[in-house]
Amino acid sequence: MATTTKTKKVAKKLLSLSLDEEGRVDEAKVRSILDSLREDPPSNHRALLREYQSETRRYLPTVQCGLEIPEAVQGEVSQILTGKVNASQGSNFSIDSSQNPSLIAGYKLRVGDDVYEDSIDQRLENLRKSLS
Amino acid sequence: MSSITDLIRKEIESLSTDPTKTNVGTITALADGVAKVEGLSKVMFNEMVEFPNDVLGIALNLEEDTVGCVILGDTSSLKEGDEARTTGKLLSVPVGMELLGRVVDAVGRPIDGKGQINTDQEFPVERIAPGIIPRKSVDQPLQTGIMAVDSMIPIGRGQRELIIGDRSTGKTTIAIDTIINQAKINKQGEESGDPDFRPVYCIYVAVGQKNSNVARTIKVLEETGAIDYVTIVSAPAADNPANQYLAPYAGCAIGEWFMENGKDALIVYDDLSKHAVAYRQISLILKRPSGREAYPGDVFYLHSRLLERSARLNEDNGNGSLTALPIIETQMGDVAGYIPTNVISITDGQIFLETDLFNKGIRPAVSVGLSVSRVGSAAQIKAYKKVAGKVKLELAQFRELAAFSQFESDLDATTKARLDRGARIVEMFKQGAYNPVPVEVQTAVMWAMQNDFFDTIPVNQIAEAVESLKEYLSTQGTEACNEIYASGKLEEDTEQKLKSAVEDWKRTFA
Repeated sequence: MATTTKTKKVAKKLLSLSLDEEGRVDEAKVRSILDSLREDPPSNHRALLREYQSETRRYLPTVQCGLEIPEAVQGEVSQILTGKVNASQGSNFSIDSSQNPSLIAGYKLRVGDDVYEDSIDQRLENLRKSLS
Repeated sequence: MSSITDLIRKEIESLSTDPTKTNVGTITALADGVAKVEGLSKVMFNEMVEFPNDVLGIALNLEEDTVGCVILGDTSSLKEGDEARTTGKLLSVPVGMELLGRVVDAVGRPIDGKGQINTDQEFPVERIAPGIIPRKSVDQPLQTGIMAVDSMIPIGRGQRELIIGDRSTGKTTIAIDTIINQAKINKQGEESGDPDFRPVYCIYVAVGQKNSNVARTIKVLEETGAIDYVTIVSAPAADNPANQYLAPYAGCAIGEWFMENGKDALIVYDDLSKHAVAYRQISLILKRPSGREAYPGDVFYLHSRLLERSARLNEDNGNGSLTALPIIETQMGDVAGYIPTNVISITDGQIFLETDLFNKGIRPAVSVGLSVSRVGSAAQIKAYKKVAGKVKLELAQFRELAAFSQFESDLDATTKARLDRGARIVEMFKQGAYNPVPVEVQTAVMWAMQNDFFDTIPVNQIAEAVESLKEYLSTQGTEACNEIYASGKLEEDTEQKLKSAVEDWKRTFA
């Protein structure tokens, strides 16, 4: 079923209610919104939840950056990276780091839709493309 | 062995080791060769987008939350959730002399099994047409080798002349004849060693055609030796609509390279009706608002921006040209359809082919009344203009009188003479496929017709007589023809030589 403009508006409102003072998505607030929707479901419950999910998915990368590295990151490294990202992007980002052994060495950082990468995996891929 | 490892080492050394920055998105929906991608916030309109497994797409719809990408290739390996990334490049195709004699797909990849195309130059598929300042009026002829066209609907270099007609009326044949004639003229010019000779290179764009038809066209071009001067861009009916939509623009970019490098080129779009249908399909899948006959609102712009790229450039801009022969297929002879009227209004004239004439055996089935060349007469050589000036009027009068004469049993002498002359001209214009005639021979035949040399020959023998005269002029009476070819004029002494040659021929024919 096509999402109506009204559903989109409501989903955007729900997203704004899910944010804390610093503009980050607050997990407790999200849970509370989902609980209240479950208790008193609107007529377009499923469509609204889907739209809420996609709004949140679109919003998250603007306040949270994803860092992929081959090995587990230490707390200090994470702080340094957060500071560097905030300095370059000019806003209050949090870092969601994860392990990706396929990178072999290096890193892959996603800020919004932008991906910064310097890894062995990427260099091998570039080599493959240039030779094919 | 060491040379191979050295080669790979050099390749590795030349690779950039700097961190890369790309803009990415995620496929949220995929259907009918179109992917909806969330993200890609920095994508440009018409930018190439890279999907997994080296599949490419183009960003055609930039919406608030999503980007609509048309996939150029096999979509079966893609799925929802796959990552798409921008490339920073607008869709480009390889260009240059290396493309001559090759068959490529809509993105310039070779499909003829002759190996890679060794060119390092690329042109973007979508470009802005030349403006007013670099342009020049059409003043050089582009000979099709078809008497009915070169005499009544002459085409100049840089012109856009539409070939329009129902299915199976000989539209493609006219275009292929023109290409073959360019190859003949090119070979003749190259052999003559004339430093001022300007060859015409050709691009044939097949959109939505059957593969068998494209193969047949390639075979004809190979057999006639024209393939060396032709690049074929093929997006057959089995290809996805995105490739069919892109093929004419890719062909145009290849042609523009010739034009911008001071050379002359001819491009045939076969055909733009199927191109419009492919674009309609893409637009509907992209959920763009549809208008008349379900075509999107910008279907006029689709063809106008393509055909405007054909031009004749002035001396300050290299003096190159790109002549376009778009083809449109009508339904039941209806030239007032949506796409036909659009393209008619964009082009500098049209060659209209009639089913009735074709079925009567009058081939090429050119309708004199509906065909016109708005700028080509300025490019017609003087000798031809002198002998063919009145023929269109005579033929038009003949068609009108022929219609009325069916009801009249007793006709006056003038009407009879006109009907008689018209019937002979119709027979003279009959010409077999893939057999273009040099312009000097056309001029001589037309001169013979205008000077009553065919009047004593029965109408049913005119076609035979014309063929005989063409052969005579090409083998024995070549002096007058050579003079016409060299000067482009029909002087008095040339006329005398022509007269004696035609008289000699007539004695042998009789």
